[in-house]
Amino acid sequence: MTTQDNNENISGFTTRLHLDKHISRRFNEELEKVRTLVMAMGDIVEQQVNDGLSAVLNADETLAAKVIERDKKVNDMELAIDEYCTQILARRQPAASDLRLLVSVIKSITDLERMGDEAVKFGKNAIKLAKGNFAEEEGARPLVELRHLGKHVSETLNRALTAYAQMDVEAALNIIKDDNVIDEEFDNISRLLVTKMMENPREIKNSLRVTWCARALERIGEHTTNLCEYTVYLVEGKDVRHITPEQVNVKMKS
Amino acid sequence: MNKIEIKQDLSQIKLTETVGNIYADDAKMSIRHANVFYGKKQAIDNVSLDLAKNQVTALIGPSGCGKSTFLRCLNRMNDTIDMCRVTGQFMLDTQDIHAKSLDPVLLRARVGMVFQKPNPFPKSIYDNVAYGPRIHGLTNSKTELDEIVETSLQKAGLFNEVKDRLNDSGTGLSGGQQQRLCIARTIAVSPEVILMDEPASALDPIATAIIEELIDELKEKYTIAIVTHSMQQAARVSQHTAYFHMGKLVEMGKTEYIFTRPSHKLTENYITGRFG
Amino acid sequence: MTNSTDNSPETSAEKNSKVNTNMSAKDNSARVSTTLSTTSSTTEMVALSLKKRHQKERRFKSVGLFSVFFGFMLVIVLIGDITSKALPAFHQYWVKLDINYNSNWLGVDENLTGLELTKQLKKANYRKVLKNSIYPVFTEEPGKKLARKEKRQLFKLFSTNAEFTIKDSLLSSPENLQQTVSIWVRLDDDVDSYLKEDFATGQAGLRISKKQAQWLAKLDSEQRIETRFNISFFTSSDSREPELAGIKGALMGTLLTMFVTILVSFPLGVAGALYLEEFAPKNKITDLIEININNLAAVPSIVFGLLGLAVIINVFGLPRSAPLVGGIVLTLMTLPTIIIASRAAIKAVPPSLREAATGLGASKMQVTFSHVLPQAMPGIITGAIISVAQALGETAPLLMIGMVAFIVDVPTSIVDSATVLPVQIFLWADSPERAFLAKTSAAILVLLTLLLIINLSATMLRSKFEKK
Repeated sequence: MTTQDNNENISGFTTRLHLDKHISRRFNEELEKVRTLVMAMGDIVEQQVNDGLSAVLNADETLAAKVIERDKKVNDMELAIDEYCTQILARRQPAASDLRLLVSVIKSITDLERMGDEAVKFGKNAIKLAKGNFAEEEGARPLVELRHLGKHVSETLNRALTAYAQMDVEAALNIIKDDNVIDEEFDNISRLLVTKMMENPREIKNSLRVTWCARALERIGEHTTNLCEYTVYLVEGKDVRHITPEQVNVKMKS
Repeated sequence: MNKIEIKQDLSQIKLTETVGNIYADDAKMSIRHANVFYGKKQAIDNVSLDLAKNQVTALIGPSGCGKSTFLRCLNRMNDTIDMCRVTGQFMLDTQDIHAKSLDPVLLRARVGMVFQKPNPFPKSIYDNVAYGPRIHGLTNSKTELDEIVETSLQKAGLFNEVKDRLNDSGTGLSGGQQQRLCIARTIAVSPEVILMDEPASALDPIATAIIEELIDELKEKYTIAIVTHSMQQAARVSQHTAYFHMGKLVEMGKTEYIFTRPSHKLTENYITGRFG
Repeated sequence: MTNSTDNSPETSAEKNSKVNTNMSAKDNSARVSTTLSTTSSTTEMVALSLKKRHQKERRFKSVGLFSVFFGFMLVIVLIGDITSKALPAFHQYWVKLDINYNSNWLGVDENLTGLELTKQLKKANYRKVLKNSIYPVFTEEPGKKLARKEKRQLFKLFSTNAEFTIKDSLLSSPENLQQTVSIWVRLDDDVDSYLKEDFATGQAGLRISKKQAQWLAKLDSEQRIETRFNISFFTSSDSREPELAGIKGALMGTLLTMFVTILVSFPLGVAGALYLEEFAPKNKITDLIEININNLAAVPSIVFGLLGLAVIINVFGLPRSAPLVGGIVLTLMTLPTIIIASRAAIKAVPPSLREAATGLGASKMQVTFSHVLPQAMPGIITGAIISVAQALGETAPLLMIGMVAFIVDVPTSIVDSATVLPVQIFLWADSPERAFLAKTSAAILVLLTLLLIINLSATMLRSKFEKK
């Protein structure tokens, strides 16, 4: 039960989904536009996450302000894509892969928007942390850990977006499987920060802020996994949400 | 029992290149290795499928793919065409419907048909519905016939609209009403299977919706096979969908699968409106 | 002359220059038009061509109107001409004669009574009575007898039927024996024609001498001549005497022949068409049959007459001149037409209707007779009526089977000798007597009326079937 050209080594969203093969050229263009919009939104969100992270790590208030400001754009894009998809659904009554594309897009943008929101949290916390001079005092160790987690999440997000763009089910499945790595790292940071807080109750506030940042990173990781699940659904038509990796394996082979 | 034996028998060999699941748990009709030739041209190429009992099976596919031809084989309407030659096994329960010993008249009383263009007889509404029971001698008295006509019209959802003018001509009704009259006429013979050849293609959306609703109700009592050009219609009314392409059955499966994640590229291309 | 020759090169040069300017002007206009056409919208181009198209349409319309009008005029002229010629045939002149039933002249014993008298009266000499009754009336001087030639001329004024009229009158009232009675008798056809043709009173006319004309004038002045509706035209059969000839025999012959034709050809034709369309397998044999039927429709009708003579009369021994044989021969002629028309009508029945009935489980027979035939009926009836109407006017094949004979009796069954209207018309048109001219036209009028009635009934039947 796989689409026929699954094994062909084609990269790219358009070719893989044959978005250029509709009898209606307008439909082609519309789906292409949806794709472009989603990819653009993904790019912005990725940048938001990266900028937010570096704002926290470098205590950069201006960058943080920029991230908070830019979130409006992410929200606007979500609304725009939502409306556009609704229009296509109403007018074209898409079926099969087209339907899956639109459903996955509508769901993906929700996750992307949430990631944007998490990036805003970075921004807000970065401003507060910068004021508290956390990084220079007690925060060195947790921030190293946070940087480490951030790098991992950022990379995963990048990979997920690439997998989405290239309809790469293999890569997407790998990311889903790797989700627990992020969870583990988050647990590590949490434990570290709890220790810090117990050692130095004065810094509880800042430690909590770092915890929230780590928490945000963990959420972004979850949303990234969701993106990958939508990628799998889009390409294979199979729902791999809320099941164990073993079950995923079984389902993918069926 | 006989039917199950045949199934097992044939399932040993690879039936066709059809993707998906052609079998039904509770099959009313089982067709195996159907071939239809018009002269030298092969219109149906090795098609095997089951029609699930009390469910709607939609046959879809581009024009000239053989879906109508296939449907017409199911009550031997192709018999009337001289050049047409049919091979394969067509089982209705345990009866081979293409057996020489079976009179097509008997078969057509069990497998009714509704056509693309509403084609009521140029007679009164009453006579239209009563025609089938009359020719088959299903009733002994006028009251019995009246009852059959009334229940048939009721089942077709037409009775309330025409009860005051049963003696008016059937051709004076609107297109949608005419088609429902044709359905009433078909169910008046109490068939087991109803074949519908694009029953709503000549109707407006409202009349179409009424017919679709009717199909949904009818499946409680009858096994229905419907040929349609409207994929939305197939998606709306059917439980199983079979996709025909160039005389072959490319894919068959539950409608929910066919319209969200078809397995065959041809099916995908057809239902998403792609070429190639 | 010289001047002109001198001038010629100059003029030619001028012409040339003119041509040149013309050319350049044309070029200019062409350029303008091309620039226009490139810049002008489709609307303008369409508007330009529209005029031409409308002209074409108008031209076609007027041609069509003309042809309709022309055809209509021809029909009007034809009907008008026939009617005007036929009118004299519908009335005729009668004359009142004082007949003296003298028993001596009759050669009857006046003392007899009852049956004996009737018997004798039947054999009596009425011609003598007629002659002796009229001669004295026209004797110019008392005592002087008419010359032999005059007697003959005088006697010729009256129809040969006159003596029978006298006889019938006496037979119906024998008490008039030995009495003088006024009796209306027919005038001879020549006299009839003469009176109808407006000659001056007492003047000689066609086949009427001056003497006869004067006698007629005398009768007229005594108010003994009157015109009556010619009822015998419809109630009597053919006769050598135009004033006595009627169409009843021919009309009856036609009706009987048509009866046989319809009775045989309609069921045969419809059955054949139904079989060929609905039941017969489509193969080379049926194709061959179809071609032959189409060819049969084009066979000259006289051939069917020959066939009738050779087979039906000579082999099967059916009676000559009988409507039965005529009907069979005409059936042969109309059958292909009916089959072709019926097949076309059956083909025109929408296949969806057949499918509907077949899908319900109707057998072939049920489909054919409860759906196809009723739907095709209007077309079949139209075809049948047209071919029967064609047969109605047919002469040639009937000549071959002897329906051209001179038959005085009105046929009462399909095996009696008979003739038909078109043959009757043919016979009368061939007769030398002038009065037959009007009779011919009148018979044509009757034939046309019959056709009209048939067509009307066809239309009515058709609309009745279509309503169903």
